[in-house]
Amino acid sequence: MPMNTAEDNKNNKLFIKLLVENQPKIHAYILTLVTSQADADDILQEVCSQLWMRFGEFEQGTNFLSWALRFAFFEALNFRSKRRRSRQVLFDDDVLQQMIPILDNEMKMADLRMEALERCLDRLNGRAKDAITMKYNKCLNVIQIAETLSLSAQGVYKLLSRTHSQLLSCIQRVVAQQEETAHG
Amino acid sequence: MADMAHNRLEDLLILAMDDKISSEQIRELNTILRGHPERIRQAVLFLQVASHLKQSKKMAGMAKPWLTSDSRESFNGFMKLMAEYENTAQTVQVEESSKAEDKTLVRPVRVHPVRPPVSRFSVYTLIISAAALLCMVAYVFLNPVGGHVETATLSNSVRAQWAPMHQGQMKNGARLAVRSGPIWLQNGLAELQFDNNARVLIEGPAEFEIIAEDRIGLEYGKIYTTVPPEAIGFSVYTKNAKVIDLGTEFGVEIDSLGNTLLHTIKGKTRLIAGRPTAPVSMEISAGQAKKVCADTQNIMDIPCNTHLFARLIDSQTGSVWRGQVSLDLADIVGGGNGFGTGRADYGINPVSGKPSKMGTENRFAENRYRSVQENPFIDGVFVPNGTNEQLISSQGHLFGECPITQGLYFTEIMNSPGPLDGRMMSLNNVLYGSGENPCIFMHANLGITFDLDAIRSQFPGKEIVRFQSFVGISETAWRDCNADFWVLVDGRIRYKKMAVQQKGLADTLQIELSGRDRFLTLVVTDGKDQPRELADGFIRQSIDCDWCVFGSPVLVVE
Repeated sequence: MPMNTAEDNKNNKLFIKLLVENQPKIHAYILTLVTSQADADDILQEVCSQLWMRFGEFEQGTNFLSWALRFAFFEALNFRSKRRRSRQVLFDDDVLQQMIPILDNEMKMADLRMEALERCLDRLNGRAKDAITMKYNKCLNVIQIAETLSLSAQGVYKLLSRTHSQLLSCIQRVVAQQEETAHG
Repeated sequence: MADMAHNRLEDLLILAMDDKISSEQIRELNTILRGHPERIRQAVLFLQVASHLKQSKKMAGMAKPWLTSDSRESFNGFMKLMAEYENTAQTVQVEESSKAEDKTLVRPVRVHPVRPPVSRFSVYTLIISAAALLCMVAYVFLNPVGGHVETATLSNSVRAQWAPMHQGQMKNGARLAVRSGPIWLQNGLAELQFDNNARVLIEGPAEFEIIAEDRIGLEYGKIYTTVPPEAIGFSVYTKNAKVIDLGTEFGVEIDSLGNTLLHTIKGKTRLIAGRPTAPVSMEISAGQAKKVCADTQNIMDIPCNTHLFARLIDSQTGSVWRGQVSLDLADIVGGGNGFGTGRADYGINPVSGKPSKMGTENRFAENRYRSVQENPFIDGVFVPNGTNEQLISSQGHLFGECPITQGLYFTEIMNSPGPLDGRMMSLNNVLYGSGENPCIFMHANLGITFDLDAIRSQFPGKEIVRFQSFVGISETAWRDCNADFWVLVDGRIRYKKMAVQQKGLADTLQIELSGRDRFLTLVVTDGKDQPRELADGFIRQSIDCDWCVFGSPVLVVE
């Protein structure tokens, strides 16, 4: 988008604002469909690029996330189709069919869950906290985490799985409490 | 048991996120999930935790503040740090000079006039030299060797962006001269038609120069050359190779390392390359390709890529043909040119003929044929109903056998729609609705006519030989179905399948086409079932669940 008018500058700022606000949710959507972090990052880049190029088609005042998720959906599907040629995709078509409406529904709560996660992270301690920090902050791989924590690779996977599960349970409790408070 | 399944599910998802899951584990994962919505929900939420962790500010906050992923925060954080440093940094002392230096820099200079000797011989020499120079300049202008001899026309371009110094000059129709200097195409495609009928298609970013009336130099980028018999000998020069045409089509690319890559698509070329002290000349035939290495001058075999180069372009439609054999009709429904420029989940309203998103409600319409002004490749659309004469082309072709329908339609004619009622289109477990599996979704009653002449005009010299498509009613339709599929060419029925009540793939179509065929029409009708009330009080219309799919519909070009 050319930056040679005041209107263009305003649109560009709006795009950046909307993208910054919604990028985490778009990423979460893509990751659910393709599962691999690396692939989700690549697809997110492509989606952001498309959103930028086609921002002129977005009707201001409507739901940017819904609009963006359509692009994310198709990019993820494209990715699945390409991957099928060389490797198995994770979710087969039956499962994906069932997953799509569930995913669409759960995206509505994404903001609440992200806020809840910030609180739940405070409750982590010990090796669980170390493992999560090493994986998501320091971006260490499983082998490196295993060496640091003196665990086997399988042990690290177990630890990460349990920790994710704990965080999810915590998030669900926090969100449920907030909803109870909100509805009296 | 449920807990065990959940735990196992989460273990498998952790492996999957790290790309460490095996095929057997993938099968196990799908077995755990299939038919269990609660487990699927668990999987969705579990994966979202991972994504949220990656995006978490708290997680990121454990790094330095100005290394967050938010670029605005990063910048503000950086500026804050700079400001703090500014406030607290020590003052730097600068020494002043203590010497009182003489600051006078200019002194008066006395000039003594000198009269140099000038002989008559010197004057005569000057006059003759000036005259000779004048003659040389006049000769160059009046008898230009190379420069300013126009020899090619910029005949076509698609999304071409030229370097600023060329922008005023390089418009379609511009004449280009020999040795007028290098030309930079920053992006897009441009076609040059030489006066000897050789055609060169340049793909940016590229730098090239017209060296002679039958020679072009390529500094970097890609060019595709089509040379008719009368222009045999047309050549492409690069830094380390010469390619001479022997009656052919070929592509030359200079890659980022300066290597020359030659792909001979048709006929033959002669490649001259190698070390200057020992040049090599070899004939390269169709289907062969060579690489001349920039550093060693060695010549190597490489696979011939027949789709690497843009071979035909059309500035009016923005079409670029790279030798693909098929053209996607679903892409055309989405407003594209058949090569992926259309919009998925977008289509055409059959009443207005305008591009539209998908609506989902029962609507009545007359069977009027509407032209589609916005799309040069679609002649028109309609809601078919044999109650009245059914027109199906702008040239007056009629669909004589059109059945009487309810005159109802539910959605627009769609290119690769997203989920309908949360369900993707599917024929025999193949999901449709993506780049690899596009479809035209036509929920009864709908009809669309493609203008084959307009589509054909994108490929001068090529022919549309066949229409291919999978057809059927999506397995994901809610209830039972009953619909008819029709394919007509210039009003003549070339395929029909009536009363399709079995969901899934009904047929694989291969309909031969000739150069004389003008209009291809696809129609779906509601199977003539009558509206009825179901046991639960729901009024079932004739079109309900007639989720008709033309899967991967293409025109084959040869």
